[in-house]
Amino acid sequence: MSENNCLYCRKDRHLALTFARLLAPSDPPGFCSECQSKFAPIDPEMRCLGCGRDRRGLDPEFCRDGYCSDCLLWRQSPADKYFGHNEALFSYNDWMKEVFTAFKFHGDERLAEGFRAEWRAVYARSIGSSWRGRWENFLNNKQRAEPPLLLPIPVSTQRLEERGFNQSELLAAMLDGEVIPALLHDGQNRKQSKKRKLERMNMTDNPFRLNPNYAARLSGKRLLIIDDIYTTGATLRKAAAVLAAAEPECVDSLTLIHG
Amino acid sequence: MIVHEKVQEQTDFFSPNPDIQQFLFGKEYRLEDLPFSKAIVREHIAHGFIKVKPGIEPVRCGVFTRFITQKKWHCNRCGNEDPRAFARCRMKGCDCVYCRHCLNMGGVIRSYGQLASWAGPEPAARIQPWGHDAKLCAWQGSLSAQQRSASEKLDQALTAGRSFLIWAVAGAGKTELLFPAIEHALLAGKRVALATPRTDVVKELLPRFRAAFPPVPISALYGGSEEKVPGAPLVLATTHQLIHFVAYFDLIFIDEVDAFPFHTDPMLPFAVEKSTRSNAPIAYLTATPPNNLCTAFARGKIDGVRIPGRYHGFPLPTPEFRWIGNWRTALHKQFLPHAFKKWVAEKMRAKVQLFLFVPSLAIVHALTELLQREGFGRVAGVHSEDPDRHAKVAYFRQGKLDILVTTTILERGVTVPGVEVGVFGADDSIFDERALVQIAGRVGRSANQPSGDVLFFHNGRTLQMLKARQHIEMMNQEAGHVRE
Repeated sequence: MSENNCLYCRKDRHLALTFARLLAPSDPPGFCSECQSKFAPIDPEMRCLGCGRDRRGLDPEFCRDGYCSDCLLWRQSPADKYFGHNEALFSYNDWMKEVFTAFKFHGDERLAEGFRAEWRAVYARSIGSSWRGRWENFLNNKQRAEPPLLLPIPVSTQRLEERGFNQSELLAAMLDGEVIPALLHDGQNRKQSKKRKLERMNMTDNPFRLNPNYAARLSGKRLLIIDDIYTTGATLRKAAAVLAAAEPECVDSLTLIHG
Repeated sequence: MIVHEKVQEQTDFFSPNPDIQQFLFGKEYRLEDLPFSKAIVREHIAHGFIKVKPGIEPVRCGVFTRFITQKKWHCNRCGNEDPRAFARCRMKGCDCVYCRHCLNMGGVIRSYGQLASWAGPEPAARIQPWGHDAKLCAWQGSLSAQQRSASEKLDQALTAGRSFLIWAVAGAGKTELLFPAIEHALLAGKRVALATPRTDVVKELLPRFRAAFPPVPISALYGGSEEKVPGAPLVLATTHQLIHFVAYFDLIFIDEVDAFPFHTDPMLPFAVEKSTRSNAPIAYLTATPPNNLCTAFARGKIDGVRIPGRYHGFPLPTPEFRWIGNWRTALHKQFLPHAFKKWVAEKMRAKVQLFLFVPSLAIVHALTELLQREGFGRVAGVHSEDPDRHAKVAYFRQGKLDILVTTTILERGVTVPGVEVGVFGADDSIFDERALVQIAGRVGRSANQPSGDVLFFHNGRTLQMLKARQHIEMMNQEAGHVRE
């Protein structure tokens, strides 16, 4: 099981011999082309401007001005005023479910490495530090914006003990930005993944707290919440509501999956 | 001295919880997975009734080795020592390592995690409702002379505590000849396991064993099994499931030692060794023994018996080779090679059911589609990731399908009377001698239809194909069938 083997199915990846590979000290770990092809990447041109969902599979009558009906519903809620928008990398499908279960619930942290390149690319695009973003900045004669601060969604202590790792922290650590553990988890609530949609969207019990030591550092900054999956958007909005106390410039989010 | 006495005193007072004893005896679980309160478990550990050991330990090596190589780890659960199968935890401030090899065998095991096993006394009464001379085996069939003598030898060797190899051709009736030995062992109060490489085989064996041993509680273990009987004296399991046992079985049968995972995955021999008590005899059953067993058998280091003939006394069908040119290109260009098409058409006219083995999943899809387009009866394709595979195989058994296109998953254990076999692309490296011999063994298993075609469609003969044919011819010759 070297880097030449797929992270998930462990078969040979059949990497082509290129000059870049020849000169690199080692290959980055990754998925084989067969496993990779089963993921459903989201087309950035066709995403919902609110939640980052892929609008290609959506009936046009559920969309308005590039927003999906769920986001339009959220807009009517008071919880939405603190939260900007989300971007996601993949749509949730059966294959992603399988890989994600292995990653999050069986605890195979290393699978996150397989998403590294794409994850970093979507981050660069979302903060405008990709080559294309820079070029556009140059043409419009704009200053490059300061990169946002990264805030991984925390998990309860009990769950951390159970799993041994926090998937959002792992994902945040793969990006270049500064990671700030300003969000704290109070513990004792049921998993979001064991609740129903309306239960999830109910915003009364907020498990998050703002770490007062970091509040000053957040004020006036752009914040980017990092999470593994956007399902209804309730978690991210709860976190954004907590962060609003520190008066940041804006709160957006980046997730690996939209599902 | 005083401290010592105190401890002694406590041990005298402390009696182990029978539930924990029953649950943990002969098993190994992650400490956090024990379904008992932490306080009780801690107490048992303090009194030495539960033994804990780290899940992953660094392998000790000399300074020099350490200097020139990576640090090595050993997983105490699955025996994995491949440094590439360990991954370092990426969490900040955490320095642990976890084993990727046994992740889906019941949770991740980390270097700070611990494995618990029972170190106290054995549960007092082994459930044994039968007397010493009871009749447990209700199987009514009769063994052929060859089978009977093999069965007797097996029984003698196992009773004497020696390991044994049964080298029997596909369709020799291996399962039945185990019954007397299993019955003896059960009567002696021994715990017996039958390990096979595949879930499908466990599922197929369970009803047969239930019918053969009605009074005996039988546990079937595979991923997601619901047939677990705690404390059952007879356990049918996939080899992977054995990693949850520690020094439990007095006797173990390993079916198809050479089948896919066993001879490539060092975890499985480790699991077998871990799950058996020291010096427990192991019986190997196979049609095509791996090289090390072959050598041991030839040199007389392991007892064994060879059964070259089938139970119905007819010879094994010998494979024929047929050249079909570059079959990959043919599939790519969406046509069937002429020789292949002719053979399938002929078989369809004769109303024969066909197994078609192909090298890979992509080819299953391509070939199934082509055959369907040509209009050759009812065709279906199965592969290991197919969710409907059990249903499709069941349909094929009932005769509702004419052609079943499959990868090597169905090479063993599947018995369909009257079926004939084609291997499409037999020159592919996935078909080694063992696989081809097994595939040929699908044909002519019932006494009513003891012969049939075994065709290897190829683009150039390979050594493996020739060896497979030689193997079958040798077995036939040994069984006294004269070559045509």
